[in-house]
Amino acid sequence: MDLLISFLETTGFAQMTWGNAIMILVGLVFIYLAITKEFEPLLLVPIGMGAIVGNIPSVESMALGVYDEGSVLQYIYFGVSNGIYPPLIFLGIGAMTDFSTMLSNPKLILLGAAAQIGIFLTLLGALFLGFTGAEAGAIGIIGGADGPTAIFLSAKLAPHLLGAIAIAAYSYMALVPVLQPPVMYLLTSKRERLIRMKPPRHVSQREKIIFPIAGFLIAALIAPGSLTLVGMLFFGNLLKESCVTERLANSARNAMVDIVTILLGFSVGASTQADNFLTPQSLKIFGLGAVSFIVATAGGVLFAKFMNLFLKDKINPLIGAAGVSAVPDSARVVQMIGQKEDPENFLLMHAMAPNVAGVLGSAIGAGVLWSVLVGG
Amino acid sequence: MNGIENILEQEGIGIAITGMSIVFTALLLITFYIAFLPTLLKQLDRVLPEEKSRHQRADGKVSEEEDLMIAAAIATAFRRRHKLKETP
Repeated sequence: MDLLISFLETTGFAQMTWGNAIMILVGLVFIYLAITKEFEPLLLVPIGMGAIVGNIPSVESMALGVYDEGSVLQYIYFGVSNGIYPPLIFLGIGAMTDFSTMLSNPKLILLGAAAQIGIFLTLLGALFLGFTGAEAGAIGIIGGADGPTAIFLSAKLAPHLLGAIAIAAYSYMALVPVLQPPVMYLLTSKRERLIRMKPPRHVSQREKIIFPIAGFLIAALIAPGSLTLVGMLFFGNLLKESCVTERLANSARNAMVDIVTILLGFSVGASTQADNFLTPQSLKIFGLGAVSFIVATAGGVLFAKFMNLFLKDKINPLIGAAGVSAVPDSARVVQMIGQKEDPENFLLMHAMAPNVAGVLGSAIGAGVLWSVLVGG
Repeated sequence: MNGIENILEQEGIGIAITGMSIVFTALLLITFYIAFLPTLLKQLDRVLPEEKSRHQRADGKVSEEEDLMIAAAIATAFRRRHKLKETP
C-alpha cells in the first residue's frame, strides 16, 4: 500500500499546479490557432506541443525537463540556449530568399531600416519598466519581428527570459494579420493606399551572385556582432544563386530548416515551465512585444510617407509595414490591404523588398545590441 | 530602479540612437552599393563578359516547367484564391 501511495504521489496529477494547467491550456490554444486559423502552424504546433510536454510536472529524482541536468530535453534545448539553431534557420531562409525585388528597387531597403525603430523604442520601454540593459536589449529585439533573431539575442543577453521572449515573438508574428492592418489604415489615406508602383526591373544573375558576398561584407564589417546571423543568411543565398550548389541549397531550405524548426519550436515550448514562465516579467514582455510590433509597423509606414516627399515615383506607403521582418506574412498583409482598395494593384513583389531588408536590419540590430550590451 | 532614471542610468537613449544609426548606415551603404552595381557591372562586362549559365536558356526565356513553378508559387502566395489551369 505504501508503495502505491508513494507512486501516486509521483504522478503528474498529484504534483500539478495551477500554473502547469494554465500553460498546458496555452499550449492547446497554440495548437488550436495553428490548425483552425493557420496562424504560423509550422511554429505554433511544435511550440504548443512543447509547452504541454514541458508542463507535465517532473519527478524530482528523474531528469526529464529542459532545465534538468542531463535530460534528453536539455540536450535538445542546448541548441536554443547556446544560439545554435537560429543561424541554421537563417541559412535555410537565405536559401529560400529571392533578393531580386530588393536589388531592382534598392531605395525600399530603407523601409526595412526604418521599421527597426520598433527594436530601439521597445528597448527604452523595457528600461522604463525596470529591466536591466541586457534584458531590455533582448526584449527590444521582439520588435524586429524575427523569431530566430529574438532567440539568438536572448540566449546571449538574457537566457532567463528566453522562453517568454521567444513565445512573445512567435505569437505576435502569428498575429501580424491582426496587429498590422489597424496601424496601416490609421496612418495612410485612401489615396495613398491606391498608389501603383512601377514594376521591378530585371535583375541579372551576376547581380544576384555578387550581392550576398558584398552585402555580407558591408553588414559584418559595420556590425561584427551580426556576423553569425547575416553570414549564414547570405551563405544560404549564395548556395541558391550560384546555380552550382542546388543540392546544398535544397537541403538547407527544405530538410535542414524543417529539422531545426522542429527542434527549436519544441524545445522553446518545453522551456515554458510554469514556475519559470508565469511571472510578472513575462506579462511585461508580452505587453512590450505588442507595442514593439505596432511601433515597427508605424515606423515603416511613416518613413515611406516621408520618402514620398522627395520621390518622383511615389511609393505606396503600405509597403512600409513590410519592413518588419515577419517574412512573408507582413508582405502578404500589404498585398491583402492593397487589393481591398484596388483589386488590380499587386504590391506583394514590392513589399518583399522591405520585408527581406527587415530581416537584414533586425540581424544587424541584434548584432549591435549584442556588442553593446553583453555583460550588461 | 525604473522609469526615466533607469533609462538614463543604463544609457538607453545613447544605445537607441547609436543602434538605429548603425542599422541605417549599414542598410544605406547596401542601398548605395546596389544602386551602383549595374554601372559597375557594365564596366566589368568590358573586361569580363558575362557567360550564359548552363542553367539558363540561351534565349533568356523561362522554360514551361519554370513557368508552372512560378504560377504555383504565386497561387500559394495568394492563399489558393486563384485556380491553376494548364492551357494546351
